[in-house]
Amino acid sequence: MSISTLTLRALALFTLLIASGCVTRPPTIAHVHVGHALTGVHVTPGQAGYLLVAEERAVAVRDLAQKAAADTSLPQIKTDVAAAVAATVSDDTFGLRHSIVQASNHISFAATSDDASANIRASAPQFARDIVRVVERCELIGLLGKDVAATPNVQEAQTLAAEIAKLAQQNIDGEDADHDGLVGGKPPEYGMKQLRARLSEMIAREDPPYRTVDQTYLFNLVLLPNGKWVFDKFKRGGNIEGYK
Amino acid sequence: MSGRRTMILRAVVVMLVALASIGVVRAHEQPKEGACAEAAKQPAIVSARESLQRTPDSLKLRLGLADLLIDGTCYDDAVHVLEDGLVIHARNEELQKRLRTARSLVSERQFFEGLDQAELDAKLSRHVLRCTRFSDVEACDQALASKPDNVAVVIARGDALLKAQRPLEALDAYRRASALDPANTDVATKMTAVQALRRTIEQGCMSEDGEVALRACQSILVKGAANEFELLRRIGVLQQAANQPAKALDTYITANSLRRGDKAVALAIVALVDSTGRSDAIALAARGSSLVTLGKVREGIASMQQAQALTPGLPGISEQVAAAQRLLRQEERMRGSQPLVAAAPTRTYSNLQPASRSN
Repeated sequence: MSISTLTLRALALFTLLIASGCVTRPPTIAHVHVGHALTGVHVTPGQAGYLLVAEERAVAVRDLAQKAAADTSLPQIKTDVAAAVAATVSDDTFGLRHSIVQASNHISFAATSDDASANIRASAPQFARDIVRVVERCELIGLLGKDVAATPNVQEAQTLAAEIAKLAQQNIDGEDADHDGLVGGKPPEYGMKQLRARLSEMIAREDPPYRTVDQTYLFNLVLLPNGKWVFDKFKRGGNIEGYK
Repeated sequence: MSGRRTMILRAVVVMLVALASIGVVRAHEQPKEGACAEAAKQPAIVSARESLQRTPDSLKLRLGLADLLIDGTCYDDAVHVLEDGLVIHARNEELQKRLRTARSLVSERQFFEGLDQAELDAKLSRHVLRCTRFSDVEACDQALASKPDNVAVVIARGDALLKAQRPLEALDAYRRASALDPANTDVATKMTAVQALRRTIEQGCMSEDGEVALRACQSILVKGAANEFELLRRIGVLQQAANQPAKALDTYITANSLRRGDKAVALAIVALVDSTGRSDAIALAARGSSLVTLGKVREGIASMQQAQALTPGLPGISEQVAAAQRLLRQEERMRGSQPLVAAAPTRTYSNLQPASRSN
């Protein structure tokens, strides 16, 4: 075995050691915040990440709204639309609007962490802008839901339910607002699919790479009075108030 | 073997470069706007900026400028000032803390601006939807309050007004749409159709009877229009015929306030006030002015004075009473001089100058 081969192997081993050292080290605070958006946070149903909850809610809203649009009885339309509206705008039950806003919040928290990469710092404000169309559709679903609740006219309720179903579908797939043949081609056309893609791209650009954050870190991040985020060594379940 | 070696080397180099390449990238500059643009001109900020340019190493000056910029909502500028400071005072905790705060404020502002805009846009979309799909005139008005020059909404408002049997207002809306988009042929077609409809409705109002005619008249009644008085008078007649005396009285009172001196309206008011038993100030004032129109000035004054006693501040009542009193005095003077005037020719022509007549 030549010396150069030995050197190469040693160098490779050294690199692997460095790399493995990186993996076993605690994640950056920024990545934990990103993990709250993507992987898990202890306050959501099933402790899922905010983006996951938002995606689930978007599908639930679409299904409920489509059912409402197909209903022929006014009380049933109202019941289904009310459920769709709750899954859209309820804060208490992590509706779509609340969940996607929280996902964006946590990406912003990541960006303001001292250890945030330039990539995350640049991506967070863009993501906050990207979610606006989904939030707007959620607001509109809420308003139209109120109109459904108020109308005594079954035809009007059906028309509104169909409109809500259309918005709910757009919240999943995006839309082609400018009729250029491209669904979700621009931020004002985005739905959850595009938002997921933008976050995946942000993650892919991370250097050092982003790795799925362990629950120990996800659920034990606390905000100190001096504004710094640290891990709670006693693992008391995180200080979620710190986010407010 | 050499190929494998090359691959391993490349991988090692890439990893090492990647590990070493974590750097700080400054947040991109954003244009100043609103309050920040104003604040940036403040003498305190201008002065602090100049002082820092002279002594860029001064942490105190840098933090002071950052605070002033944050107070003036120039969060992006504050971030830049603090980031520049990091090059000089890399480990200063106070600077890092301020920078975190400033970055957080930038994110927060952008975030809330986005959400506020989303809420406003959703409201507008809701109004547009209700305007275009449900012909909801109120929603059209609300949509136009935000987007007054939105041609589609202006046209939809015209359509909604037409559906609500308000063709004259629809015509106005189409005229506005035409002014905004002169090349729009749909609007021109709609205007022609509304004008034809308006003529048909006017005919129906004046020549038909009953509820159909009443609805027709009401649909083309527009406040301030040239034919407002005629339409009100016709509506009053139709309401009376439909045994709606209270509504008819209101209509006649409105017509009377637009144009006094119409004997048909005056007669109707006097009859309806008496038959409905209305004794409020507005009804009594209308009765009074109607009596004056009918030549019963003294009775008219009495009715108007009753109205004035009930509601002293009733608009125009004092002037009406004064005018009626002047008229009464004139009439009395006329009556006082009438026997002389009436007798004079008799005396003049029959007694004093009979010869001159024959001449």
